[in-house]
Amino acid sequence: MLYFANKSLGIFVILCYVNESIRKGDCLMSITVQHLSKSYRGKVNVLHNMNLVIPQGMYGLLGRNGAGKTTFMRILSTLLAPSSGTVEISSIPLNKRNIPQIKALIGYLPQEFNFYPNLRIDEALDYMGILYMMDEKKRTRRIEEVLMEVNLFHERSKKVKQLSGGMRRRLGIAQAILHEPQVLIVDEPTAGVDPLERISIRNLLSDYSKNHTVLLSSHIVEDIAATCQQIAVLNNGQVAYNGGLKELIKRGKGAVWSCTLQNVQELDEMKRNHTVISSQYFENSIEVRILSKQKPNTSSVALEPSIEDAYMLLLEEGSDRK
Amino acid sequence: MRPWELMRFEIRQQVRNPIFLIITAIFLVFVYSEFSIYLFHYPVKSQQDIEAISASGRHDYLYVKRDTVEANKVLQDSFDQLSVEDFGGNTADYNVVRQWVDTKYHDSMTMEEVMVSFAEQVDSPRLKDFLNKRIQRATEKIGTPEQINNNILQELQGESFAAKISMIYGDRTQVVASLLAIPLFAFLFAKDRRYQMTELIRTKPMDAYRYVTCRYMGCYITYISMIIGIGVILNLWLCINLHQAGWKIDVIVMFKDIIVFILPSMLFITVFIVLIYFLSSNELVTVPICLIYIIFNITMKAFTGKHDNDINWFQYIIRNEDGVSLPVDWSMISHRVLYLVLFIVLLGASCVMWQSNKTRLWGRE
Repeated sequence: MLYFANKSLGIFVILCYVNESIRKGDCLMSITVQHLSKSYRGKVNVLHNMNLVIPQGMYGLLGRNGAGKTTFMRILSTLLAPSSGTVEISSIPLNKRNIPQIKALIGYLPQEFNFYPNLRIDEALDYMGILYMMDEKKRTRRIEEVLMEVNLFHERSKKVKQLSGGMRRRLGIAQAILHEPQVLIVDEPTAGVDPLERISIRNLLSDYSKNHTVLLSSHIVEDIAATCQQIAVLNNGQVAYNGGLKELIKRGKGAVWSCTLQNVQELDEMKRNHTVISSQYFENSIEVRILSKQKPNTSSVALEPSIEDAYMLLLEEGSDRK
Repeated sequence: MRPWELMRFEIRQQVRNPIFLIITAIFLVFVYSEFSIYLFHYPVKSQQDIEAISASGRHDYLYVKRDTVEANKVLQDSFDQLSVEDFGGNTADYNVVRQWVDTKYHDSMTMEEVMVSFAEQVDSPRLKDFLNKRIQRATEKIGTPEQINNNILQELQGESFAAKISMIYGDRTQVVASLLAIPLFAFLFAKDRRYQMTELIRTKPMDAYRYVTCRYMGCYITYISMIIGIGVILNLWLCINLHQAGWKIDVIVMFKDIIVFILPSMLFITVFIVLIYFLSSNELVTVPICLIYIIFNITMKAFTGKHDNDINWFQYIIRNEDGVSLPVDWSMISHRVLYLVLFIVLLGASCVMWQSNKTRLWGRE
């Protein structure tokens, strides 16, 4: 009992300190990552010398599958220890001693998650609230608030096993923001949900980012483009790009082309020499969108790059360098 | 946040847990099959009670001594009706006994004389055993309800019958509840992984000690409450019956036996199951390991060939199959204290195991 009392007092002091710091304005809601590396069993380099500053607001983390996004998220959420380098969340260094402090500051939605199927929605949140060590009064108030925010208030008596994929994701976000964390870390929140739910989830995260830091990881370029002004692109465990969305798009200028091909043989030839982003078959022709530093052929027309084009170009450059 | 909030949450979950409900149902069936005879037919009031007790196989108090004349008459009759079937069709055995009956036996012999005479003529241990059974059957008979009740009271030596039943409940419950605890406690933390909740839980500020202890205690309190509840109902029912028959009652003794025998044993075995799960990270591996360990504790004889003692330091269960009153002496107290200390050690180890399962890398900074 004495142990629990001491622990509770410790957490209480930490939360008071954090709240006080925020009020004074000396606690920046940012994440600073310096020379971060992560390798498993000293061999597989999942992250290599990452340097990032993630400011308040919505920040996107793009990268193909296996780029190291989830590993990075897991490090930030204290699930994994970095092999080397430093991470600071709201000016608190991420180390073993500070784990309880960091946990109190962050909300985390993993890529793969679920709840005990027999729990009702409000019970699931109550359970999460208990694990956040919130007192009963605050828990009850916040559960109502977040259920309103994620539009699950009227479904709160439903059991988790009755929820659709999108509703489950929204419940996941609700549990992540239940204790009003300074930093919200969401890993692929829109994976496997329909377009309406995706928009709903994106809006939720955007709203939350008004006063907090939201780190959104995704391999779906559209989601990032629709919500983030600042992004980082991870490629093979390294930061391939870190900056504004517009700057990234600018980098694609002069490298996106459109042309009309006559047959499949021409298309195959084009694919051998350039990166074909898309191809559309018509009756007598094939319209293709191409990534290339040089004009692919005489009939090619330069296009305004989209975020997807710029992202693909970036990954391609990374592969070339490698 | 108070520590018992998670405990309370776990209790609410367990009460609705299908595994717990099935276990409760099985335990109720077991208690009914084992103790209904004591609830419905003790103290003995009628011939029906006697028949029910006889049919249940619990013959301990049923028999009373016949007087010598009657015993001799019954023995004489049994020898008169002797047939080959009594020897399983073995004609040679039948002839040996028949010859002894015809040449040596006469109805004025005392039982001791019968045995001596038989031993002089017959060497076979099998036939001696046969005669012993015949003599026992001749000298004893099923008593009247008063005689049976008198038998019980004599054996109790001033103690309440409830005390005996309480000891039997303590013994059987340690065995059955240990076995039934395996699925409940092996799946307690396994469901975090099964339902992909591990990452959600591990990123919360609650530390491993509080999390594991509160959830474990929530489950334990639910389980032990069920066991205690059923035991108390059993005890009250029996005490009402005894009180109505004018017998001595002892309501408190059940609580004493629960505290001394059931609580420490269940604390130890349940946390043992949890620890084995954390060590193996697989509930399907946990089940057979715990099963073997519990069987070893129930009947050490099956493993070592040695007879079970009442108190054995290697067994967390204190067996008391006959329900004889065990004194709460120094060796009993130290045995119980040892297993309570082991419980605390194993609980601490479980917390460490839970923490190190995912975050062991933090220890290598």
